[in-house]
Amino acid sequence: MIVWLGFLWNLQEGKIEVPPEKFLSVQSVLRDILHNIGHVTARKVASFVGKIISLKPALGTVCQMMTRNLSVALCNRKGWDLNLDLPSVCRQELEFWLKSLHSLPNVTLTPISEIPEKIMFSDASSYAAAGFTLERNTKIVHYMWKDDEKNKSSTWRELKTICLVLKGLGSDLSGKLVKIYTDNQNVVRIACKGSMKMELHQLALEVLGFCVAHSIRLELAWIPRDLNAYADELSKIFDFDDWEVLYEKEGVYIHINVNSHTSDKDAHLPGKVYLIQKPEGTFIEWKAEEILQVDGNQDQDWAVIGSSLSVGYKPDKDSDALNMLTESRKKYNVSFDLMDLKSFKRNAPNHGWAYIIFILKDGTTYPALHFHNGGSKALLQQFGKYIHIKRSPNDSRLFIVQEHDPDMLSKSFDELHLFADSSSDLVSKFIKDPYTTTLGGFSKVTNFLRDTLLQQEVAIHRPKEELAAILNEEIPGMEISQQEPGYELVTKTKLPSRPEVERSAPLNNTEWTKHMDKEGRILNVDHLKEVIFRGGIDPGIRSEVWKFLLGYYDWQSTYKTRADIRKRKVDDYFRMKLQWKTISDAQERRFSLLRERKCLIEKDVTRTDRTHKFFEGECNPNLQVLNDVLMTYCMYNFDLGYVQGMSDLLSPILVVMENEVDSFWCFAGLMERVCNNFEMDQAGMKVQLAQLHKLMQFTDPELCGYLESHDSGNFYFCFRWLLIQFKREFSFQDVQRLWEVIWTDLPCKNFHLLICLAILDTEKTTLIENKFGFTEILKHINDMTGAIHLEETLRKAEGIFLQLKQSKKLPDALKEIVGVEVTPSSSTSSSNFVTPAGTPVNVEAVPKLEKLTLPKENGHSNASSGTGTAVTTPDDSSIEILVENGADSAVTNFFT
Amino acid sequence: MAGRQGAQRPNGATQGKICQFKLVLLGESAVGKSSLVLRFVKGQFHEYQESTIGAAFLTQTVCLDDTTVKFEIWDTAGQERYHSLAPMYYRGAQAAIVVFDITNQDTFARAKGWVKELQRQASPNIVIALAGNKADLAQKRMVEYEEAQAYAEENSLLFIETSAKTAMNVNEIFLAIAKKLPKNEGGGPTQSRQSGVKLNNEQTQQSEGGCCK
Ligand SMILES: Nc1nc2c(ncn2[C@@H]2O[C@H](COP(=O)(O)OP(=O)(O)OP(=O)(O)O)[C@@H](O)[C@H]2O)c(=O)[nH]1
Ligand SMILES: [Mg+2]
Repeated sequence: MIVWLGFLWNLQEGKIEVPPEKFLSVQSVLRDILHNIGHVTARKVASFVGKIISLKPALGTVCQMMTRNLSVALCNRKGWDLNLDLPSVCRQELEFWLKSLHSLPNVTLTPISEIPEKIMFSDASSYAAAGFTLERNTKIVHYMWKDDEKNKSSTWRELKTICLVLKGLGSDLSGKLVKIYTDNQNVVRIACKGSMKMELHQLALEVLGFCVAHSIRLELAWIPRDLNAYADELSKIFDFDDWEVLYEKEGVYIHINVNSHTSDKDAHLPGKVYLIQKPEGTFIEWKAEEILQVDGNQDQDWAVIGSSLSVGYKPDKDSDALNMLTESRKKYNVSFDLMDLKSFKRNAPNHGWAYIIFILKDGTTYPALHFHNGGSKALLQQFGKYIHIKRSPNDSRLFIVQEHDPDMLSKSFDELHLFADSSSDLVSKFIKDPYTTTLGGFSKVTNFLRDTLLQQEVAIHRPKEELAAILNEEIPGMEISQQEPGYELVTKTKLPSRPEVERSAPLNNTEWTKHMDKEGRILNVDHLKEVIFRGGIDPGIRSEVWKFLLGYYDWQSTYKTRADIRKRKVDDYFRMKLQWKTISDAQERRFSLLRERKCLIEKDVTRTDRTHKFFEGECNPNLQVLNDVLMTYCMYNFDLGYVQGMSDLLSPILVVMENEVDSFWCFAGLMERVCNNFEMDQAGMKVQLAQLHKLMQFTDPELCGYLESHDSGNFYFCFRWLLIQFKREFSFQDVQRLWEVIWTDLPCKNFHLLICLAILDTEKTTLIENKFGFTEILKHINDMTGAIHLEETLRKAEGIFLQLKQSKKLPDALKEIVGVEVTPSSSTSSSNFVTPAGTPVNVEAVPKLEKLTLPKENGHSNASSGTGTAVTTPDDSSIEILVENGADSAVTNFFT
Repeated sequence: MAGRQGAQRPNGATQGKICQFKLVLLGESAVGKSSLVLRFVKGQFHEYQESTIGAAFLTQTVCLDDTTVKFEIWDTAGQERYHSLAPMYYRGAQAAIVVFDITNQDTFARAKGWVKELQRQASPNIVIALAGNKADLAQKRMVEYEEAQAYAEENSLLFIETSAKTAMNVNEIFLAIAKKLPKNEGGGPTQSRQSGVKLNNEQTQQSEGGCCK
């Protein structure tokens, strides 16, 4: 123990202490002041404050904090020797010193090296406060703000959080050195020195008071926001006691992918759905189960890494995977304000349970919530109190939220105006392209009519009936024709009705080997392709069959020639791989183009399908393979190089092939088919989008007109679908299935465009009745990942093909697009199906392929007669002239 | 929409002004455009954020004093090959965030290219912010703060270094933009009709040129 600079340096305990005589002198001044309060000179008070401040080295910042009001009073003095006005806050400070002078903890000599006994993190959000301790059995303090507290400043809330956290853990902290991390720098300052703002100062005092009472030595430190992520997260968890939960139901699942099989246990995320009244509004939320159980985590390891500022969450290795899972699950959380709801789809429980898909005004589309244990009705029943719902006349599953909109009338005038605006434009278009313009125009008229009709209905509020309609599963939803004259007129397109087709089992090994002769030649390729088209390929033989579909092996090849080819391809591959592998650093420095590509590939490899098992983890060797194949492809096709999207195309192939060389050649084969997608200036993409437009003008003028009048006639919302062949829209399994179907080039060329049409057909009512515009359409389409039924879509797409094929008046431009034979009057194309590769497919084979079952009312025996010629149907006749004109202009348009 | 973490929406939509702005993110591939948006809109960060194909659209609402600002955000694909699609997305935008990666000098050069293009071809009053992203990787820094700052000053851009990973300055950059945007009549040309932005009923009364009621 030494005395130095007026303090006792207690080296044994590492503390600086106040010498007793100093205490005595402070105390005597203090008593004096308190005794004569009201008659104390400013000079006297100043001497007291001075003494206290001089204790700072031993007692810390409390000296400043607890003299703040006295200092303010001193500043307002009238004269040093005049009596000083001491408001009650000053008296409180004086009393504090009287009470606590002896019990204040001393400043430690080496504060940095002393390890805090408790480390805590705190954070406040606008609705809750949270803190937790850093230790094996993490303790969590959570508090919901009261209404008045919510309106306080964020600093107030953060500071209050510290109070709450301290009090919450109370006895646990007694006598300890406690360190609290907060992400608010002001809080650190104010807790030490107080604040000029009364309410903040009060809180600082509260903190101090608590620490003194419990002999807690408190250190506060600031950490950047991100490091405080856990506390941040906690502070956002809502507390059911404090919010009014209007409805909750467990056993509500999100199926990560609609096409997944129930056996896949990861495919169904269990969770709970809530309808919650919050101050900001009425919210629908769905939370995955794991996330709800934050407090249940006993095994989280927290560690202090490096200096006191870099504290982070370091999970132990084993729980890595778990964290990944939780992280990926959080993605699915649903939370939205009921006021943002635009519509929802509810599928009645015919598969055992009902599901609901919520769609917001901005186009956000949430994954379907599956009510495995029921409860969807009850949830919807609650809605009635807040929103008016109307069932779509066109789709019994679709329910539209009706706006309470006083401006509804002006809105409809607005729309009228829009229409009138473009009418002159319509006339000029009509001259150029009468067919399209008329149909597009009609659908604009009907859009307008329907909009007005729908809006008129809003005026009549009848929530009770609407709810009854929702809840009545039996009501089949369509009584439109009376309601909407003119609507039906146009929607019944001039196409023959869509035949139902069946799909069947995938090609299996037995059948596959049956199709090989002794030498391994593939027999009856056409039939084989039909089987694949109709059912895909069994995963067990997929890697082999793909090599044929992608042109790596020739169908006519034998075991022997295949072995030879493979050997050659292996050599070829490694030769090309060596080419880039052997480029020296010096060379590369002068080879900007290669550098650029290398860089692009690297960027994409690190973020391609990293949640898939095959590419998961930090140093997964498959990433290197992905990289190498793409680099080698650059050498193989240097003109094209690497373009974003290619890694998406390669990844499923790599997963199927599990072999670098095979993957490369199959990828090269796939690129043959789709390289136009990656051209400079997007020419190839634009052609396809235009083709899609042309097709829809014919197959669904109503939807087409809608899209055109909603800035979406360019079909850009299909960009991702086309560019990477729906890779992002389906799960891996489904993409593989879809791709092999497309690669058969059956039943026509550009079948993928018909797949687009099929998906859009399914979404048609959603798009139109929600009155989605450009942005909402794009968002809705982007959000459909994992929500498209593959088999249903394929059936529909084939149905559309048959409609086109049977349509008597199919414009030549469309015949060109899908490659069906052109009627004798035109000589632009042969009468065979032509695959993109140019291999003619015998038309005779096609009808066999179509196991079509025509709807009864349409039962023309000749529809399936197999001649390959177009079939006349009565539906065909009504707009004959328009179609005829349209056909020609479509051709000219398309090629100009 | 989950967790409006930037700012809470006011109770009831009627109080204060409501403004709606179209904002576009531009910048080289992998600089973190999508990550910034995801952080701002959902408060999330994905280490393996997949590349953007085509474009993505998101919305987020923030409160500035008595004004509710709704951002309609277009997140574009960064690779040069998709450059020709960009005008479709920045057309009619009132604000743009041009993003570069502070650990990669090339991305800064590319950002300058975008700024130039915007100045030439976007709406004349467009508010442009330059974001030096991945600021958490300061140890790999290749673009000096001062360099970017000086460039931004010369071109009257907002400049902030951000990190989508740590959330540093992410809300701030959007708020800074919101502050700079004209919130009264006579703001930047709102081409909401042409660009297909559908105004919901809250905004139907808005005046022709502005974006507020
Ligand atoms: N360390 C760090 N990494 C980041 C940050 N922001 C993004 N990343 C990572 O950088 C990579 C690319 O991020 P994206 O957000 O996909 O980049 P982008 O600009 O949208 O790229 P494109 O869609 O290809 O144009 C991802 O792996 C992110 O995890 C950041 O602030 N810090
Ligand atoms: Mg992106």
